[in-house]
Amino acid sequence: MSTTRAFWLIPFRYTVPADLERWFEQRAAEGLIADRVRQWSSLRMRLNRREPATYRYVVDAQPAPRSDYLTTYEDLGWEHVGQMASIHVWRRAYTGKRPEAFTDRPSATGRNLRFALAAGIAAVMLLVVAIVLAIVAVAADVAADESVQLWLAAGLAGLVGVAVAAATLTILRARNR
Amino acid sequence: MFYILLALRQERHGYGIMQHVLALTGGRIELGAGTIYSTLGKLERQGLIAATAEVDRRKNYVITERGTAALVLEARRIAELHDHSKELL
Repeated sequence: MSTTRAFWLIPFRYTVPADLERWFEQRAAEGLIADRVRQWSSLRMRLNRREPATYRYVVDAQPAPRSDYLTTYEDLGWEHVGQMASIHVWRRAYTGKRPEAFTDRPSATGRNLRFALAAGIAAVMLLVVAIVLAIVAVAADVAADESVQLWLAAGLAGLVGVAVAAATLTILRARNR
Repeated sequence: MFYILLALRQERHGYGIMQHVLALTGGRIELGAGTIYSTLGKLERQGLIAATAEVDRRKNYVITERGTAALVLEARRIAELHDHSKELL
């Protein structure tokens, strides 16, 4: 049996931070442990097979963290698993009460809103790209096959943009979780 | 936010704040890393605290005059609540 197992598009399938954390924790309880996440883990997440473990995973969106970001978490017992774009993943082994990194409502909601903002910006950018491509396909003097390619690209960007916009709304609705 | 401002009447970093608040509340309040980090950022942006020094990527913060004024205002509000609560007990 392979020592690892790959999962696809996990942050896109579990867009609400609390759901993504639970996903990591449930896999760890099954013996599939996220020991390291990297930039491309948002597309393909590789988990290590070993003894089941009880970890608390926390995800945090920090596009421009201050210099004391990592040490603040590390000093309080959290291990930096890695980051995917601006999403940092932290974990902590525990017994008994499940530890929290966000221990008050405003900071927990703020974390969720940062996720929503990141997704919202991505959605707007994708939809703008889709509209621009569609305008070029209609207005520019291009050959028929190029026009088809432009429409396909516009359609793809539009579809992904709508999906990301829907994810943004899902995060906003769950902002107090 | 109240306890973080209270802790920063003396210069402290994130871990120091957590320890101080934990001791002050007899173990009742254990501030999480995400809460401490994000609240420090918010308080600094509002001018209620200021970073003083950084050693080994650990930033120390201390309350400002504006922060002290906000803390006193909040303390007065809590004292008023406390006075009114006593009528019930």
